[in-house]
Amino acid sequence: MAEMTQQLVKIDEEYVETYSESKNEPSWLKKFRIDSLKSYLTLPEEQSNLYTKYALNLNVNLPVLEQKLYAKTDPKSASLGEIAQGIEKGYYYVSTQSETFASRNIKELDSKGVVFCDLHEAIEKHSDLLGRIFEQKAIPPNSDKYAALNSALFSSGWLVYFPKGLVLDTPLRVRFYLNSTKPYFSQTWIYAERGSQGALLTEGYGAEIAGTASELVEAYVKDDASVKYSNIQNYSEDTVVLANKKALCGKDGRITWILGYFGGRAERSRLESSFDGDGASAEDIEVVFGSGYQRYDLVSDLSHVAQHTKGRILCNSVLKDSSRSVFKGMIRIGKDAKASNAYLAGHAILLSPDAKSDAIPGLEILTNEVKATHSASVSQIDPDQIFYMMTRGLPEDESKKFIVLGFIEPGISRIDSEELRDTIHALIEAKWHGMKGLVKKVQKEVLFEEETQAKTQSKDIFEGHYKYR
Amino acid sequence: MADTIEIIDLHAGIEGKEILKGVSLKVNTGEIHAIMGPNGSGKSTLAYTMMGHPKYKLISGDIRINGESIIHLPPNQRALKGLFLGFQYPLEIPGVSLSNFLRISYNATRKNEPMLVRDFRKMLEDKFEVVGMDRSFATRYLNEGFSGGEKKKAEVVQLAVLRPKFAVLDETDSGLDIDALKLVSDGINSIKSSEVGIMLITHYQRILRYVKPQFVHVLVKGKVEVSGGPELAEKLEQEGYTWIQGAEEEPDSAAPQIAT
Ligand SMILES: Nc1ncnc2c1ncn2[C@@H]1O[C@H](COP(=O)(O)OP(=O)(O)OP(=O)(O)O)[C@@H](O)[C@H]1O
Ligand SMILES: [Mg+2]
Repeated sequence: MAEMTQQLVKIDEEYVETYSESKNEPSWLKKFRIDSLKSYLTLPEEQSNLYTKYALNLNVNLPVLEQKLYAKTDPKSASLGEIAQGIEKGYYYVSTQSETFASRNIKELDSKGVVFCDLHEAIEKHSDLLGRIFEQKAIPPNSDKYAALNSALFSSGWLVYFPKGLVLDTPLRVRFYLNSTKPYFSQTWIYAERGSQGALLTEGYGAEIAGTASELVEAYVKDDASVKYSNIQNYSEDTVVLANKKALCGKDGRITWILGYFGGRAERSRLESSFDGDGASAEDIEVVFGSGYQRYDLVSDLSHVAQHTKGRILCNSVLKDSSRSVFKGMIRIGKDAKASNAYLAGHAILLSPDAKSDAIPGLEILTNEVKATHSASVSQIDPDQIFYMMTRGLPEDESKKFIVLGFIEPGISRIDSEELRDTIHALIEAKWHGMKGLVKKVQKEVLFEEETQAKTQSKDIFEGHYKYR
Repeated sequence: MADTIEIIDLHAGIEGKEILKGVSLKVNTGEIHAIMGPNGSGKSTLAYTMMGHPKYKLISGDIRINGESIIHLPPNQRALKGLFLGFQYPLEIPGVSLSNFLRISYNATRKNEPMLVRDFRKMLEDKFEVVGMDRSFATRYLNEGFSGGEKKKAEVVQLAVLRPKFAVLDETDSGLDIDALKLVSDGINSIKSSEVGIMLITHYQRILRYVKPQFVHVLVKGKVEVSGGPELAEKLEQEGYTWIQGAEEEPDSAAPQIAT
């Protein structure tokens, strides 16, 4: 029966319109969706080295999505309770495609003027704010084909608002579990008013299914505000992930991105930090641990528009088995961005002869008096490092594992949750030994203990004694 | 009874080139042996070969601890047998803190008596104090960004924590200022006991004033050409190596220096 319905549905203007109306969306949003679909249909197919060169097909297009629209929830999928396991007290949502659970104390945020809600509530209660965001949309639908597709079809979302001057020490959290092959399209908006500070920490897990997840994240960082966005991507190894992220930073505004890629069959991620006000800055730390046939196609750009802006990007990838990654970064320094400073580094460790990685740094500088540096490397683990560790009694495999963990530590140590850091270590441990899938329980033999873990190093990792190989 | 490490007519090399051409030495726990010799004479090669560096190939001969050959063992198992190497050029391991690394090493080499994090910390702090290192080094990434001298001190801290039966210290005294030399010597002396045998590779008489060897051996072109007591080190300081047979011309010291 479901089969028959499936045949009839077309994702077209009418579909989008009907969907928007069924959700009681304001008319501007309906129009936005329809325009986005038009952009999607007119924009050319995206090209990627990773897909053509290594013959990977993302397989995300309308006919495929139409087929998947009415997929059923995987009966083996975890319950909300199971998904929430281990999460520390704080402000969080736990969610699947069909259900959402909010931690009780989210209500407390009201009194602080903080908004933290899902799409449904955002439309119902905060449509003014949403309207303001869509007027200055950081990622307009015509930015790229997948951003357009997401903008037409997103059916989930998270809205975060930090009012003027508010400093929130606890990160807001969203833990999402992909429980069906039904395509998941979400948008996340973080709006940080002048002088505010806050963080959003998100995690994506999934059942062992061929899922599709498309996630668009925007940060509006007003003058003197500071936003930290962290994401751990740990979907099943059959899931395709499409991501667009962008931050607009006002005067002395600061964005921090901490991104960990562990899951997915393929992830294609486009990120941009834009400095529109003088003195704005960004730090983007991305770590990849690929195994099996996983593919990661990652882009991180810095757009220096204003003066005295500072951007730092580090992407460290570890690739096992036949996994592959491409990391592309572009530093753009505009003609008015005097005294700006940009640093871009992409490093990879290959653990197998079949693993591959490319780092492609680019520079586009239209003014003098700036400092822009980049570095890139792809190598195996240094045998002398392995030897050094072995002389202290560690077996070869352990030694390698520690070197690799150390290599991605700059990203992991910055995750503001001890429980999540432990989960990541356990996950890497599992991947190291060739196991896949969601690691629910953290093994007791934690690799790094509390002492150095708990301390998220506050100093700038690009300065001082740190050095990247 | 003392433990013994024995190097028997060792021939070894790197990249098809024979560097050690028949080295024999015997070190008992409780003894300190200084190994001296011109640049490029094979001192580090001896140290690496003893520890089992995969790039250094054993051609013939044997290395035995208490009569048991260790040449087929990987480096970590040699460490479990009680062998330690203080590196001439310690490696940097970004992202792995010194204290985590050492605790894991400690527990690996002492499987039956693992130490609690808190106790370990205390012990580590004591060892830092001996060599005059700030305890903040514990949470720093292993050797990353350490100065040359700090790296050497950190090697001595590792030595003092791991307490091996046999320690080969490859130029642990090089690159140290005068105060640091004294502190590092204190560190070495703090473990010097009837329980450890030390092979101190050095170019300088200086450290031997603090860490007093009973035996001095001179390695020249891959062979122990002269052995003697502490007075030999003094003679070398005065007269250099040229009086030793085989060292009159200095082709080896002119050979390109490779950071091993
Ligand atoms: N990777 C290598 N490839 C080729 N030759 C090497 C390599 N490593 C070392 N050698 C050579 O082996 C010889 C012995 O070197 P070794 O490092 O053992 O000397 P050493 O006695 O420790 O010198 P120093 O006092 O300068 O530390 C030297 O001639 C050196 O050039
Ligand atoms: Mg040497």
